[in-house]
Amino acid sequence: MGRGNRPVVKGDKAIRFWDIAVVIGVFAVVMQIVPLLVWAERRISALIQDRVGPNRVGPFGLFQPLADAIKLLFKEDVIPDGADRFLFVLAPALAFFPAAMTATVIPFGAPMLIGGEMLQLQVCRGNVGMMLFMALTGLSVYGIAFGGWASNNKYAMLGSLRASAQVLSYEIAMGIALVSVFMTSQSVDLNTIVADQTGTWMGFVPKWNVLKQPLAFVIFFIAAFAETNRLPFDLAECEAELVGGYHTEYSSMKFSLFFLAEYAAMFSSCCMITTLFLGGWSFPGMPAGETGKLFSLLTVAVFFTKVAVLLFFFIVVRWTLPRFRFDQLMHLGWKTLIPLGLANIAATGVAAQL
Amino acid sequence: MRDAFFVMFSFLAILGGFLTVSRRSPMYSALSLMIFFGAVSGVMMILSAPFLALMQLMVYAGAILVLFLFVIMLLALREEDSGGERPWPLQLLAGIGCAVLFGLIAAAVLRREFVAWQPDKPGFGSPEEVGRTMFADFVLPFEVVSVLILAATMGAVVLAKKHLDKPEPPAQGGSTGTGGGH
Repeated sequence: MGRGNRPVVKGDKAIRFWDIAVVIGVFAVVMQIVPLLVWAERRISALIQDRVGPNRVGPFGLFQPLADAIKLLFKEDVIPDGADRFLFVLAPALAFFPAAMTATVIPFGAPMLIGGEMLQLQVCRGNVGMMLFMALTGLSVYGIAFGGWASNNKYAMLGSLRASAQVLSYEIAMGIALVSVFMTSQSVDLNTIVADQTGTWMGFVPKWNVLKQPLAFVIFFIAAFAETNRLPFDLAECEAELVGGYHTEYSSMKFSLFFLAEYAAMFSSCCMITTLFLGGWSFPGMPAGETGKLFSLLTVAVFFTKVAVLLFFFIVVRWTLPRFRFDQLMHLGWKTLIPLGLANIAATGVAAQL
Repeated sequence: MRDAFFVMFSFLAILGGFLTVSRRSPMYSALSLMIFFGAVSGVMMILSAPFLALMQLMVYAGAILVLFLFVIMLLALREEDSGGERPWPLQLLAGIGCAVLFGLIAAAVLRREFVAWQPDKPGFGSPEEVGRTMFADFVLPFEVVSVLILAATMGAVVLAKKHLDKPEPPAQGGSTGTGGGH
């Protein structure tokens, strides 16, 4: 273990021990949140459908994902005869990479004072984080597209086709919703956007962007469902029509990598929604300029509480809403969300001038 | 460190570009093109243009290439569809063209003296600076480009809707009222 402040690499800024700790920490959180989410999804779906759900392995069935992972690892890994082997193996990795990367741009808590230097609880600092998030969400479709194509299966291919069209369409709506948030916060830097949301109206109503930009919030939220291929927009895997969609031919660990990617993307999206619209790590009544370690950890806890609420909502939506038809999905994206988003930008501009 | 990454990304870009044109399978060409876009974006990132780098990734890798994939999948293009070997005069011509272009670029590069480059103002390449430059110094070209894009969009709509104006031929058997869905 290093002692902090030791320059590891000479560059513009020295990389410190704690910076590396943040990188490892964020990656560990993303990797560990996924099994928890799978467990939560199964328990909540059971609750909604009046079943019990997994409750045998460990306390409350918490170790069930571990058991599932072991089972999946020992299953036969089938690569279909007509498949394009290289792309077939590459696709799950391509799906997981952007999903795991998007969490790097999130500021998880208030900056911490360690060893006389400020430590930001964010891996990818600087003011282009939001753009990186958008770029990576765009890239997330490649895993699905290549996977479905390489499977040499018509259902898988149809799933990929749908995924490409869907992600492309909803990324536009997402970007447009973002622009109005940037206009409200006067910045593209996620830290500034969080700082802009601190403070309260009348002492108790937090100045969150969800109250300043409710329409942008709704658009971004819907688009996030579509971008992560979650119900009601999971047309890419739609088991009623396409068997399993793009992952029909996948088995064993390759299948679980797609599975992991979906949940990691869901987690990252919820983190992003929290940062942009729910005040990030800030909370009402927060003392300004506090840099203590305990305070910083408290803000991290606040952040994860907000994310947990959103994740709960994601799961509940999946188990309560029916699936859209593909043309309905396209109509919603292009003919409703995008015009609404554009109108919202115009309205924000007018409001800013008043 | 910086130079090492620069060399790595440059090498990847060249490799990606080469594979894009040399692969017979359209899907592998698309994959190579993705590597190329990613690598070029990395080079831009190192050259203090983070905004440009991410826009490159977002627009080219995230949108345009996805459309390519869409078309490849929709038309179910396979290796056989690439048309096979080109006739030799065409190959020769393409080779000469590439060599001449390479020579011209190399000559231009070799004529110049290179000095260590510094950003001309703080924040160069950041979204704020790019926005300021675009909407203050270059607002007219920017607006002209937007008109151009609007014209292209309208052209696309006209082309796509060409067949929708004609009334559909009456269906056999006389069953009507099954239209709609536009």
